[in-house]
Amino acid sequence: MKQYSEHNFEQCTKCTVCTVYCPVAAVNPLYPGPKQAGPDGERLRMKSGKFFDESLNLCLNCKRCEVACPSDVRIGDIIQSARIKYSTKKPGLREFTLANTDLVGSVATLVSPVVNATLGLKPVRHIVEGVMNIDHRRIFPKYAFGTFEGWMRKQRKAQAQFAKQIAYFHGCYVNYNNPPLGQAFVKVVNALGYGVQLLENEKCCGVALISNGFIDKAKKQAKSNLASIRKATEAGLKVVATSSTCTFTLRDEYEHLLGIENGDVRENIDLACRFIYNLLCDGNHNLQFNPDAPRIRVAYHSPCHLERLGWTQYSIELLKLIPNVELVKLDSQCCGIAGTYGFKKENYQTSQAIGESLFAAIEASECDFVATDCETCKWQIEMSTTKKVLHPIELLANHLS
Amino acid sequence: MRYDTVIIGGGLAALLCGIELARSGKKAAIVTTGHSTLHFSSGSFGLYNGAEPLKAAEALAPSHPYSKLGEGMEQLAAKATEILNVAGIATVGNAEANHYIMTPTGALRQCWLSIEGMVTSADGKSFDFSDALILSPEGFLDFYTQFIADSFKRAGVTTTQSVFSLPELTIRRNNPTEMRSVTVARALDKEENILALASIITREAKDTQTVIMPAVLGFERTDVLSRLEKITGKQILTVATLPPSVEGIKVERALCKTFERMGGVIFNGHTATHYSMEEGAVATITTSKGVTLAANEFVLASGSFIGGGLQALRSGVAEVLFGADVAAPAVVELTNRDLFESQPFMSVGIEVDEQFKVLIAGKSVENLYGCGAVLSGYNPVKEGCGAGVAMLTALKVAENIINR
Repeated sequence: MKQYSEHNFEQCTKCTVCTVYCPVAAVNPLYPGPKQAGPDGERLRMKSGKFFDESLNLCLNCKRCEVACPSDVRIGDIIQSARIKYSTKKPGLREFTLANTDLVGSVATLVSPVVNATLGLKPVRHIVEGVMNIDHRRIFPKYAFGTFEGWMRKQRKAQAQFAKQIAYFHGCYVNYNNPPLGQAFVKVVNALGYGVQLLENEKCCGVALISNGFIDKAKKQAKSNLASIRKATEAGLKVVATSSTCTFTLRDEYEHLLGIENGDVRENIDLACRFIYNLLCDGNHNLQFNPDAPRIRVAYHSPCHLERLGWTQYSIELLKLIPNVELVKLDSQCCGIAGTYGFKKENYQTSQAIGESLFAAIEASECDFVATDCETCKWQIEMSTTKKVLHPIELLANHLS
Repeated sequence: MRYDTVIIGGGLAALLCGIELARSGKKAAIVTTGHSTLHFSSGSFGLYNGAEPLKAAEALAPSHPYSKLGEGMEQLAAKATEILNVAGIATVGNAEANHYIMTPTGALRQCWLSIEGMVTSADGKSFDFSDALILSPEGFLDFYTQFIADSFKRAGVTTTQSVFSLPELTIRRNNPTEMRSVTVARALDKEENILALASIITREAKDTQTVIMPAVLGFERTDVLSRLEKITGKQILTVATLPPSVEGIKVERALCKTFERMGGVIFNGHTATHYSMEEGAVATITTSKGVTLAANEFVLASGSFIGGGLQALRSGVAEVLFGADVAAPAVVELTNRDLFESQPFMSVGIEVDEQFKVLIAGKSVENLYGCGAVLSGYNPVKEGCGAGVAMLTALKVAENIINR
């Protein structure tokens, strides 16, 4: 993996390409843009932390600046690192609730019918807004009744029957909100001849902890996850995740933002769509599709962190393999939610303004479903359009014979 | 992943080559580190300086990329124009005779094609209007109205200058350094701002029929100029700003979309870092994101120093990916102390054979082609041929690949 120096900002040629592609700068005039917030500001902050500007908290960490940069400047990392180092804003109850996905998820899944019904009520959402500053227009993802991990425990024997094995990093979303996606993943991977195991001790990847300012806890969870990933790696298991953001956090943010070494296992952490596509290309694997599955039109939305990973094409190629799926590729752009960012009252307007043209493109595409590899993009698109959003793996599973 | 052709680079050369291959039915992919130098474009395309660029190009040294195009230079120039037009980029000019475009500093520079709606002159001395209003956004740092006024004055055109503001732009000035071309262009995508600007134009221009503005008329929208002309009844012309170039970005976007619409795939944010060879041919390249791409042919369109294709080291100039043969003088002779004289380093680049196949250790690689700014043997600034070499060599390479 390429090592970056703390003087990486010196590579900036001031070409402003990053600011052109910043979704926040495009809609929120209060944000100074990635060039100024990143490499320009870093030069000053190295002199003194008092040059830190709280407007950097408006960055949604989509990393599109880094994808656009022709000079390999880690603009997004520079901004996020500055927030971690200098921001004096202390996280409150709202940040705690949004960031601690494991804790909140474990409680909510026990009483999910109550939680889902309550959070669905408009008066409750107004109270949540009043108490927590979470925008009342934001619709919460529904919690599942029972976790994915619980379901997997019952599968242990069946999964052990497979000669080849992988470890699945399911993430909080699959565990607490959408176990059927995890089940779809197991179905597809089983069809390819692999059994699925859980990591010894999976914790939330920590992306929400990082963005909400709980750095010590994020580091603790990162170390714990890496310990589990190392064990799996030593046992010869590839670690595969369905969520593009979990994958990105495990592979890149641990080292870049938390300073935790992961170089020894990084190449062993893969994204589901990439893992499966590569298997299908090696000549020894294939999937049997149901030729009678209904013909559907699917619009693919590429999440920001998947763009940053550079692996969008794997999801697209995989979807193209499914007979009876007619694929439309949407222009790559941020949907605006950026994990917990769009939940916050002060960001709601920016969040929806960023996504506006995407929502219009989705409606205009006349698709039956939207497909994407990111759970929070799914929440945003389902809340802001009339379409249902599926993970490419779910579409794959639905079309298997 | 496997493609017919993989193109390394994402600028003008890469995109034209990609579009030509894709529309001939090839499965093509582009691998690009970030966005291209089209973001610094002047809004014009140069073929070669001189009154008649095609004639001037006939007398070039054999090492010049144009000398390897053979008889077909005129047809290639026509094809390049056609591709721009197919992509929705309306142009003015032809390869028979150069015209002049006004640069951000007010100078008039020869060019082959310019984007419709910009300030141009047929002879570099005169304009077909006698007075004009120069109108610029207040606080906009990348447009020098006085230089432009002086230039018009030399050509006998009387000008008046005025600034305008819109509430949205006033807020933007909180970050004065980020009050850039794209910011203004985005504001002018909005209908309410177009209407507000139209009434400012009507008020400020009075009887003057021509209005000169920085090239910031719409970022996503391409109809802002014509819309303003329609509402105000004035002729509106633009001059390129300092970077980022809104016109250049629109060209890149239009070409990318055309390429993708024709089935091409763009790996953006990927730097090609490794390659493998089989039996003297390139078999695969691998990118910084761990993606390996196999193809029948590879095109090196990675640009020069600014594009990242070439690197200046203490030991000399190197081509970054393949270590291809570089035609360059000794390090001490790379620069000329007279800044405004022709700079030798501008002509440095890789060596290719007559078919534009890249030379490595003196031998041409059977399936690796080079085109665009990575090539040696020409000086884009002095000769005014950067865009021409990019587009024509790209189309020649595409032709060679299709005929392979």
